[in-house]
Amino acid sequence: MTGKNSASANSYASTKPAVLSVRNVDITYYSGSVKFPAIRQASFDIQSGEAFGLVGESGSGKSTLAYAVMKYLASNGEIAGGEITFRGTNLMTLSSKELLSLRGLKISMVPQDPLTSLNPSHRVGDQVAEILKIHYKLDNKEAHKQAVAMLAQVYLPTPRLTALKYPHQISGGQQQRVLIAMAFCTNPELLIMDEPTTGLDVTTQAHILDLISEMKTRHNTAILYITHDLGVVKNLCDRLAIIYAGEIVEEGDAESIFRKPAHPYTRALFNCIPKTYSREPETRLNDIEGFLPNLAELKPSCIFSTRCGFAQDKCHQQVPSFVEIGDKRRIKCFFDIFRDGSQPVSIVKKHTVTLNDELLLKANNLIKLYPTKRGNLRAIDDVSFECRKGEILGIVGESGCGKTTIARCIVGLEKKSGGSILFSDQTIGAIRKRSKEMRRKIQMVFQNPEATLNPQKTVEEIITRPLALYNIVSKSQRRQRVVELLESVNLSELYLTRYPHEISGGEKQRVGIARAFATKPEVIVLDEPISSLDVSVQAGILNLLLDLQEKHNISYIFIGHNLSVIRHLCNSIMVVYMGRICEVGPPEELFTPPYHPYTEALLAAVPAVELDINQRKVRLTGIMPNAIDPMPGCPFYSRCPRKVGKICEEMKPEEVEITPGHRIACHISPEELSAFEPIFS
Amino acid sequence: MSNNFSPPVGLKKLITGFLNNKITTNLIIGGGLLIGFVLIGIFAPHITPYDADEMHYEHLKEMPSGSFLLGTDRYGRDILSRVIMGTRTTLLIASTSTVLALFLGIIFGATSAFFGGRIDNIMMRINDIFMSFPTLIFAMLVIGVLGPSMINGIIAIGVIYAPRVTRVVRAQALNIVHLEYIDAAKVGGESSFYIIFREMLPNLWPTIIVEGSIRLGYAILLTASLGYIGLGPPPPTPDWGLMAYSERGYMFETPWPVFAPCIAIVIAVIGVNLFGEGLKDILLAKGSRSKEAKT
Repeated sequence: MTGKNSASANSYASTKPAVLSVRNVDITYYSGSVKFPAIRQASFDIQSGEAFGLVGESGSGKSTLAYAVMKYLASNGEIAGGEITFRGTNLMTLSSKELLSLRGLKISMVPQDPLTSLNPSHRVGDQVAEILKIHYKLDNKEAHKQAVAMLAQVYLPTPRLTALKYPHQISGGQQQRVLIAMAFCTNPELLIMDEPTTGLDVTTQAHILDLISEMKTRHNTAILYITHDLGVVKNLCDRLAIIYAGEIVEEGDAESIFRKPAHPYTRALFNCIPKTYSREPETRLNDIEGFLPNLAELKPSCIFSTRCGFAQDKCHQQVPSFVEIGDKRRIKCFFDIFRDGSQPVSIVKKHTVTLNDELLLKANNLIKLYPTKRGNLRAIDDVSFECRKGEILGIVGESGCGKTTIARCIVGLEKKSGGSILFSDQTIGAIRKRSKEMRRKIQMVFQNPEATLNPQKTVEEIITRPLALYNIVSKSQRRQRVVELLESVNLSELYLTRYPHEISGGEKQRVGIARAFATKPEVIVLDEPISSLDVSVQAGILNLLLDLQEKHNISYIFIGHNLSVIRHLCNSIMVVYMGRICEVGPPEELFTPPYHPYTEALLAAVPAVELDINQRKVRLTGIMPNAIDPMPGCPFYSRCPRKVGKICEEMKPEEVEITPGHRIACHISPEELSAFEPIFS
Repeated sequence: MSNNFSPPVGLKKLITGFLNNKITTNLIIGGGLLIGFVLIGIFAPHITPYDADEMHYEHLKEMPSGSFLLGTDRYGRDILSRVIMGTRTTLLIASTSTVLALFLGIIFGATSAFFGGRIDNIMMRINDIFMSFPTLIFAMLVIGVLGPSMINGIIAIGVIYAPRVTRVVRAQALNIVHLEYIDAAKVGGESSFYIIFREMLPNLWPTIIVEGSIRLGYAILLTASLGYIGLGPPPPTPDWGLMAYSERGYMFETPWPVFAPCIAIVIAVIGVNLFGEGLKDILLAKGSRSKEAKT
């Protein structure tokens, strides 16, 4: 780094001494004889009471940087240069014993996966108390008393009883609360959070984010918050740094970055995310083409130059340094991007579906029971819906709501326990009982890109197989057809001979889509196909799905948990809770009143990325009931903020048609539902 | 299907493993010993100094010497020649029966895991019954029914080890059967046969190869044991177990006719096991976060 840049970095520390100060840190990983400079010249400061968001996609090095602050890198990594100062002490010079007294007491961490981070064989109260015993040398009784008080502070229900439970006896959200209690119980000055809400449902996530904000204010803690989700940091963080391939490319005030993202990468990242709520027509998402550069072979150029839409000769030949762009913001770019043009925007063309369209798939009173020792678990409880030709039906709900089970019943991987599924007026059952023609017409794309392709087969073998099985094209034309299919999912002929482990997650998902399209199906069931991909890759897949749908006019049944994505893609959205449909309707109507109270809570919990909308706060309390037979009443009554009375507990609500295609199952009358204050305004 | 040759996982992984210098001392020593024994087995009749069955009446129970490197037994037969010829029988029986055990184990294990539920339960309980017999008693039972011969020995050992292979193959197959590419094949309309043998099996090879090499060691031991209790190949055949049995009465006067085949057994088993360990390091190793990488 040049003198000018270190000077600009110092200017941030000028106002008051920072809790954490990271200066020009380089981190290198060694793999055999190869050196990977995973982090290069990272600098930032965090003041007390400030939440600093470190945002990046997978492989950007954000977790590496966080672990480096704790001096807790994997054994093949080392901090090769720079300085990490905590309250004036240089962490680099501390012995491991001194570090031990700092970790957990002054610097705490909340990890990503709550279940594996808690010891399964100790009660949660004891696990919190242990930290107090270690750092404050409290006796058992006193430590336990304080632990319970701490559990109460994170709003765990009945803290005294919860303290006696084992981790597997409480829900994922509660486990994360315990970890937050553990992190805050020593009143640390710095808290590092590594994607603490990634594995949680949106409604739980909203609670945890509220809790983190509250604890931050109460304890005046500095927080380093690591995430890939821009929506999450919007409400929580005061300042942000965007990190790409090991370099911080933009840093500044959160609000001003959201208002006007400056670095080309930041802007591209924002354009990848579908808007949560807007009245304007949907615009096509921008995906970032290309790949992360190979860190083992770094060239002296701007790190983003290979994928940047604005890149010029200079970008490929020189490394840019930080430039100040107004109020406490800096970017690592040569250009004044506000001036240098914007990317073209195109409108999404979605096929409009009317009730006159041919009915393709219809489910009548679908039921799926799983027998357990205590009775039948109702995974799908009396669900009826239909999907027309050319329609994109979205099924949205939290984990365990039965949305994947519905998908598996449609394709025939699960045997339904009751009701019927009609495909073009023919009843369809489990996959073995279907005719070959029927199997061809219904295809599926799976959730996990790592497991969706057989690791022992080449891409060509994988896509050729359905062509051969159903004899779609003659043997001599198969290779040609495979190439066409690959091209339709934007992959070149070069991929034919690749094995799955040789291609990236997004590419695997594309191959999975090509395989589904190979049989010329009429409906494709997509089970969360993008939820494990980075946002920039997600955008590409979403665009691809829309393009293919427009070209072939087939139907999708798209399962997801991200309401913004579902809204962007679907013609009709079905909200499912505990195996029952709460609400079905087109996206424009679903996002405005009348809402089902559950839809209302979901919308309120979505971490919206837009600055200019007002999102009303609704938080669910209460616990999810056990879905064991018999379940009278509305499944949502235990958590419903708008519960009417006894009727909700005793009678299942009927679906009421509000407008054609928009149905709500609630005891509250449609007039009252319409009178709800909108979530977004 | 395309005509492209797809390398089976074991081979591919082995090659990349060799290329990446993942060869351990275990693999070198074990592989060396194993190759040595295989070569001796193949060329046995050409490298024995005497005919294995030839009785030298003037050299009964002789100490190891220049003309008889490992001495002679009470009929004056050259021990070295008999040990060399014994390599052939032992390896033949052990390896064929291992292949038989693998064959049965793969079919039962993969099928059981694939169908799951009640079918899996029934098959596994039957498997448990077979496994609960002590190996030697079970072998005596099989051979008692079929009569002692080389073929029946092979069948007996194969059947005894098949349930153990079934267990291992099933355990690994259970990790695969719920993966999405198996679901994808089902949705794609593939038959159960295709899914088991074309989708699952290629991913089971590393486990099968390692299990096979471990099984081979046990099979050598069992072959020798069967020979020792007289259920192996009938007497004139030079067999390690049989040699140890027939000379055991004179062990204190002339220990070499007993110890020579026993030492051969020990070396063969150690070699096979080291080889199996070496393969395991290459095929089933998990990525480790060790400090060794730092240079």
